[in-house]
Amino acid sequence: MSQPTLESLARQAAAGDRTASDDFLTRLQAIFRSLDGGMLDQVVRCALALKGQGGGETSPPMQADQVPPAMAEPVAPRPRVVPLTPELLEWARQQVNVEEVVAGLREVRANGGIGSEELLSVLDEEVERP
Amino acid sequence: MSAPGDQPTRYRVVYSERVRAALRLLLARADAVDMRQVVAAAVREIDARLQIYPQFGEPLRDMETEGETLWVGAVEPLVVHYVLDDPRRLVFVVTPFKTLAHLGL
Repeated sequence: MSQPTLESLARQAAAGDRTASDDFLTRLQAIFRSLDGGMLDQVVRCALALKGQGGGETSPPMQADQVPPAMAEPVAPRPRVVPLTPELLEWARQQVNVEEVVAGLREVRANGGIGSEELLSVLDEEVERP
Repeated sequence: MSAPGDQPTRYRVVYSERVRAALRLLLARADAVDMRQVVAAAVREIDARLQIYPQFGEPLRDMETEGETLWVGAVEPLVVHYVLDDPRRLVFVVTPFKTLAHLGL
């Protein structure tokens, strides 16, 4: 079965579905992890601006026991791009087999391959597996 | 300053089925050394960079098809080989992610 979209999860969460709310926040957190600091700042500003448009309504701050598990987890630091030293480049050259790459290209040209979204959804499945 | 919506066109990243299958195995290995989240974050980072700026790595050699170049990039703890087709704004990842040797994966 296909995963519900973020939009449908958001609607369910807004309607008070606690499980949908947790799933929504887990998936949002995965998206936020892929953003750089500048983009995250924009997301925060955008969210705050939207919250401010709510006709003056404000939500009370969350109590500790109301924090969804996805938000309670610490956010991992962003992975570091490793500078490619001459030694690492040489190692990388030895690791790649050009015939294998050519065969792989032929395969994805023949069957279309897998897009980013599909790969990342597989990743989410594996990461969320207990 | 660029106007809102004035975003550059992203590259389309295409992975092979072999990469997907190998990723599942890699995550299982990473889990055994409590690095599943770290590896997952690195894959996400690599994918994001390939979509936005695949030139973050280093070119290794030209491929036979004109316009295609084999590159390598590294985001701790992973190394990715990819073929960049800049004229068509395509990136192909057709060999499994490799791990930096000193990290025990």
